[in-house]
Amino acid sequence: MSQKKALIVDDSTVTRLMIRKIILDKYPDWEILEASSADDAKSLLTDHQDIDFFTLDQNMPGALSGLDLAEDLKKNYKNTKVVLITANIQDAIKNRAKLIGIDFVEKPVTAEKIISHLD
Amino acid sequence: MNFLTEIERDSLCELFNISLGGAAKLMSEMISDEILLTVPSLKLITTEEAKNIEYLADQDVCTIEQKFIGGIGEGSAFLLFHKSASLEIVKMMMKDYVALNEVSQFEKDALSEIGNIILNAILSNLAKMSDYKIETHIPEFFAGKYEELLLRRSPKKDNSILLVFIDYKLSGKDIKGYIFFILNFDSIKNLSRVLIEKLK
Repeated sequence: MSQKKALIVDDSTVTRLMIRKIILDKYPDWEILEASSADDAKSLLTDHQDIDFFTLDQNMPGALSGLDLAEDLKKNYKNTKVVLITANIQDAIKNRAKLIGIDFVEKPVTAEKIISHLD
Repeated sequence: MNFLTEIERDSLCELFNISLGGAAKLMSEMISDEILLTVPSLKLITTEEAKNIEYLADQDVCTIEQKFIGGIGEGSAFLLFHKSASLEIVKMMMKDYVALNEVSQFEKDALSEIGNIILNAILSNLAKMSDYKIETHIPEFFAGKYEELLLRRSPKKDNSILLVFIDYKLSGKDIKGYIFFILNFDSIKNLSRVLIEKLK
């Protein structure tokens, strides 16, 4: 079986570090990729098509939000788990996330919250 | 002179009390420790008076400022720590995510993340309770003398600034911090009127 990969998209280094450690504590053999914006994530995806798990920050620098990127990803990665991470889950965000078919996690990020979406 | 009536003051205190309860819960989750909050104290003071606030005057501080604009008007919310406490806070937040000797490298980023989450939680609750739409900007980190922070923020010397101070304390630790808001007086007066109307 090939090695699983996760892509963490968040402009906060600290949040990326935390999510990286949470995933690796649970699955030490996973490969973790990181991007600090939706555009960086898209560039990374040209070389890495086989991502199993995405965590996307909702508010990032650049034109695309986490939800915009999620919408894009769900078209190309239909069976991949995508989790939106946001500090402020408003009804509009919640409804759009449901329509796209992704889960969401409210900040602050904790191990329990991330792991519940990994299992 | 600008002043708030008792009912206006009470309505604002209640608003900040409720908003901060939720924010304190979030911060407790982030640092895995209990946060104790004092009852918010609203002070209508000038920038000049704000410079002489006890425990802060002439102190080195770290702040995260969240500017906002919307129905409430234009203002700033601050999460403020004494410089000596900020690294302790970051250590508690980062736990074993990074080695302890690396913590200082992440101080700005970690505090900005805390500030973003806490101040956004307060502002979104404020928007919810008042029905105002509020847009927030990206949080800005500042480290330096408390007085420089105020001078840098608002050089106005009139009485049109309201500072809402809320002290909080970490249980069992000598770490104290503050959350405060700078808002135009007319904006805060309007906010209290909206809240009073909703309470009727």
